[in-house]
Amino acid sequence: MEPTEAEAELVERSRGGDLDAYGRLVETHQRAALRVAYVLAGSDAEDAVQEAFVKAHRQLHRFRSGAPFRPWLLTIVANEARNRRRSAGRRSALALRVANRAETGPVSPEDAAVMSEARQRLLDAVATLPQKDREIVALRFFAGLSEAETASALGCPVGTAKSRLSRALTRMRTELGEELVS
Amino acid sequence: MNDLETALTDLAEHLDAPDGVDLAARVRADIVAAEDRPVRLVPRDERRRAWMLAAAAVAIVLLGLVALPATRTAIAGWLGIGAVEIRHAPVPAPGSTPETRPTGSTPVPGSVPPAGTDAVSRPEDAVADAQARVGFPIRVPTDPAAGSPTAVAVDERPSGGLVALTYPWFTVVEIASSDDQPPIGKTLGAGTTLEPATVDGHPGFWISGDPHEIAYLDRDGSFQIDTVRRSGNVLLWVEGGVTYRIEGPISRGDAEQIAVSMRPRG
Repeated sequence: MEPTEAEAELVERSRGGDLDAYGRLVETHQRAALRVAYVLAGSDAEDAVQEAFVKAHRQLHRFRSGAPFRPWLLTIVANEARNRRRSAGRRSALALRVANRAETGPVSPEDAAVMSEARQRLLDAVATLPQKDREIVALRFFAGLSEAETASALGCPVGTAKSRLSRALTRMRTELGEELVS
Repeated sequence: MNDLETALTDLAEHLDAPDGVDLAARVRADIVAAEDRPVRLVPRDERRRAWMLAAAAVAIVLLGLVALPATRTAIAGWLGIGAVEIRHAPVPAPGSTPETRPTGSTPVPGSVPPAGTDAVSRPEDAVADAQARVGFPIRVPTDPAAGSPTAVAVDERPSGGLVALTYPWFTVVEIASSDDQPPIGKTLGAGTTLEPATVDGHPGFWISGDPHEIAYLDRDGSFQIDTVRRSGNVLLWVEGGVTYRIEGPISRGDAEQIAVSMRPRG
């Protein structure tokens, strides 16, 4: 989401104590936040996101006016999600699911079923990656973060994130083999 | 994009997106429940009571001829809630001096040399005199490297008073301020930098690049601008209702060493 004047104003009003304005920021960004949290904290995602939004509100005075809000917020979400996972002490599998939705466009039921199954296999392949690879693939593709946002959410330099992503994709290609050719 | 990346992007569009029903309402409830703690957000309206920053001491570092907003509320609005924010104002023309003030601004305590500057032969007498005129216990550096004060100045115009102790290599400025809350800093002007610092656990700033003026929040909760008395760097912190500044051409390490050696006089 690109920073807009409307969002900058919501941020300013939130800083001034306007809870309605902050509520609108929450609504705008909660989907992206939940995706990040589901990738990093699995079933604790909702709690992590709720707490992250409360923390972000408390830290609004540190947010630089005019900067894009989402990357800053998602870093807080990622930290909160990781903290929860650490204290829960368990490895979380990916908690996203392939949607059971009708295809748009002219697709036969058989083709739709095949596509759905292919997607599920791909999702399974991501879910069974080693944790760091899984996180980086999911943040980059499922949460839709940019390379810089992904690096920030994982707390590593952009270069490290790039090479990790590249290696993870290579690994996936090897495992999935010719399944990708469709 | 290759096949795998295309496939992953396609998959992303077909994932069940958790939508967090009622998340905004729950977040709001949590925020409100936490609000029995001191508020740190500052509403941008004009009413004086909105300045919850009255509990905080504030440092604004200005370089040379930056036009100051004329009114206290304008300054406060421009501060925002701020932790640290750097803004770059035009660098003043060569030859301009910090004594030049925008016309129409009211003189503020500290912007002219304070009354009562004495060269001392008995520093302890001068400090004792100063103590009688300010409303907080004056503290002095006890580190032998500090030397002895060569001048003591008092300005009684700020509420609770101000004392400036001149040492060979630095000047200590102590100003009665609002209660202990972390100071908030903002710099204007290219070349001046602000970094967080702590002195014995009390939060403050290390300001380098020859700041000329620093604002603070006095005991009444009003913003005041004070002139830096010794050019160089400034270590600022707030402790026990006093804003301390160690100013001069000294390093951060030396300033911190002096700072932690401060003790009540006598």
